[in-house]
Amino acid sequence: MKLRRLLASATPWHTLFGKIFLWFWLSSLLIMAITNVVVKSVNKPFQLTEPTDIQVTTLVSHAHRVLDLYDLYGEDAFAELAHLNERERIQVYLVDENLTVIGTPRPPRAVFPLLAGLLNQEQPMIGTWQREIWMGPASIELSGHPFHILIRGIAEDADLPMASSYSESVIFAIALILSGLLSGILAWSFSRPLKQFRLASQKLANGNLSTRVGQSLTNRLDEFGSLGRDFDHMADRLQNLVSAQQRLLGNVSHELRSPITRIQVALGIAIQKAGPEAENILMRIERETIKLEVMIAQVLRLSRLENQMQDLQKKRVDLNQLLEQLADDAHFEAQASHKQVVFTPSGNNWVCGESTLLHSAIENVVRNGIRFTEENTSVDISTRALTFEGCKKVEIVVRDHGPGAPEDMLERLFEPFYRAVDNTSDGGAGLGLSIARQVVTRHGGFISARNHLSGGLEVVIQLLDCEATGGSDADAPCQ
Amino acid sequence: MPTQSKNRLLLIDDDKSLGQLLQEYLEIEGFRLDLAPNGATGIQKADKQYELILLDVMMPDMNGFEVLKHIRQSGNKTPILMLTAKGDEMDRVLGLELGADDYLPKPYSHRELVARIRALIRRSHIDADDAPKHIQLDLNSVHLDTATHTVKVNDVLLEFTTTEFRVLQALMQEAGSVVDKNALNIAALGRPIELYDRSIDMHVSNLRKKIAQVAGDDPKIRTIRGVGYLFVTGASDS
Repeated sequence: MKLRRLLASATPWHTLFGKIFLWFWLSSLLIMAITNVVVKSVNKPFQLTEPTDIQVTTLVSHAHRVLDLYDLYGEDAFAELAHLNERERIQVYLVDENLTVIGTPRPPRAVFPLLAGLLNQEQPMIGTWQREIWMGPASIELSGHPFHILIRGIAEDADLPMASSYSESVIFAIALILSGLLSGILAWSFSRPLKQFRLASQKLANGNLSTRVGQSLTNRLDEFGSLGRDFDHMADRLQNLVSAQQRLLGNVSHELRSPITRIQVALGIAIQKAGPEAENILMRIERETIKLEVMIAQVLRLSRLENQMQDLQKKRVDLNQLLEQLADDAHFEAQASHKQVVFTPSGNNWVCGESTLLHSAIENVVRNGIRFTEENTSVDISTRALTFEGCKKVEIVVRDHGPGAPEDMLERLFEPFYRAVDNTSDGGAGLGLSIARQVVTRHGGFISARNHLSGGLEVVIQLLDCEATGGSDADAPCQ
Repeated sequence: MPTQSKNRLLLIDDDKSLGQLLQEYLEIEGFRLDLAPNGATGIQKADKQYELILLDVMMPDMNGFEVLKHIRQSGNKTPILMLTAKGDEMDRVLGLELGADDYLPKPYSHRELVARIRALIRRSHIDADDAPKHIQLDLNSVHLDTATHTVKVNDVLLEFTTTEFRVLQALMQEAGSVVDKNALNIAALGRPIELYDRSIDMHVSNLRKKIAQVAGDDPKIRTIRGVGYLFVTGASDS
């Protein structure tokens, strides 16, 4: 997972934007290249440009040379011309009105349309075919017959610069930039709404149920628009459901508690009015009522915690300060039953999370310890820093001096309503440890129980060190 | 305090059958309980002399906080015991902030209720007994007078609830030394501190806020972590 994410951030083709952009750009470049080849292979009207004075001079001097050769050798001049063409950088062709090449070997057939184009010109012009540069015509008269001189050079030739090749590379560069720009806009038009969706669903997942994708998306007429409307509809439903559930929770809390309060007060009256024989049984009713209330409170607390954890606001929490206060309070409670709570801090420990949730999780574990530790013994809380699989963690160990639990039951201690010891009068509802597990797991931590070698239960809570998680980053590598 | 108010309590709660039960139960315990089935009636009745008002938070139409605000804004300083939903920290904090003296989470056992009522009443009786002594304290530009029940900070008169007044008095009487939370709790609420009980911290926090309105950043009350609070005697030791 980690590697894939890293790759995606480094390589554009792992993002939708990159994919669309690169594919579109490459395909448009490919189309341009193919078109270029096809067009060049099919005859097309050649682009003719005007030659410079030097080029004209070159043409004229070659024409004079042909005339000189003809004066010297007569009909043999054509063979001499062919001979010269083989050696010279610039080849000279002599053609008549019908484009029949005189004396020298014919140039390739494909170049003839260009040559025909040149012949139609009154002024000498330059045209290119592949890497050959052609120039002409220069008209001469040999023995009273009109002929035309055309000369040919290869593109590297300094005398005949690649006029149209140059413009071609400029056109290519412009096409490259333009098609790149257009591909970018296309790709962006796809990836931008998707990013909006992503942000919205992230917010929604983090518990901000009033999140909507916004009008810029829902007003669109395309598929993104309908997706946006569906998304908002979904968010509406979700928000309604959750708020209905929360209302129900509040109502249940109030509705269940009112009768319990009434029972409590009625019991008070009954105890006052009844004789001593009834008192024991009335006290029993009272104890059971209190237990009922404790259970309702914990169930409600569990659902509240779950709601709260939907929208976990992680902050840096000073674990030592939290544990110190917790131990103080718990010690106060434990003293009433001749037990102690001792906290031994070690170093500075910072964890990431919501301090009230973490407090209640650890508090539940400590209370559990107080319940089971023997009289005149202590519940010991200690911390230590450790590194596990490259992640810095903080371990909190809560140890009691009680009976411990059977080995095969250790895992079940964290199940709701599970009791290792069947003790119905201790006031516990059997939810404390499962609440603790909920909270710790939600914080990316880990909780387990084991028996201490010299007796008693040891509950171990591992939480991520805050430095390691880099603040509230949900994508942190150690998560 | 007029004798007719002796052991007379007012319950503002929409749960009528609970009210009747409480009436009967508290009568056995020696209290007379008047009932107000809603906030508006409660505010009307609160004007009469009661030793204590029991105020439920969860009520339709006008909730307990609004009733509390009305009662306190009219200058009524009768001790108020808020009956809050259990586990709802916000309710407690808000209630104490608005000037309630103590809270009791619902559902409460009849014993707890009577204990709380007795504690608050005992506390206000100690006040009444103290009154003739007429204590005046003048420390670090804070002036406290038990006869007029007034506090002036930098010569500005500040409004405090009865409990806040008692907290300040307890701290000023021991100025310069730490008053532990339990002692402060007994002095202000008439009962020892309970587990996970933050009400005294809330009262101190309210005191600080009110004093800071006048005194600004000059802290008069310092927190001694894990122990309690200390009233700063002068500029020299801050």
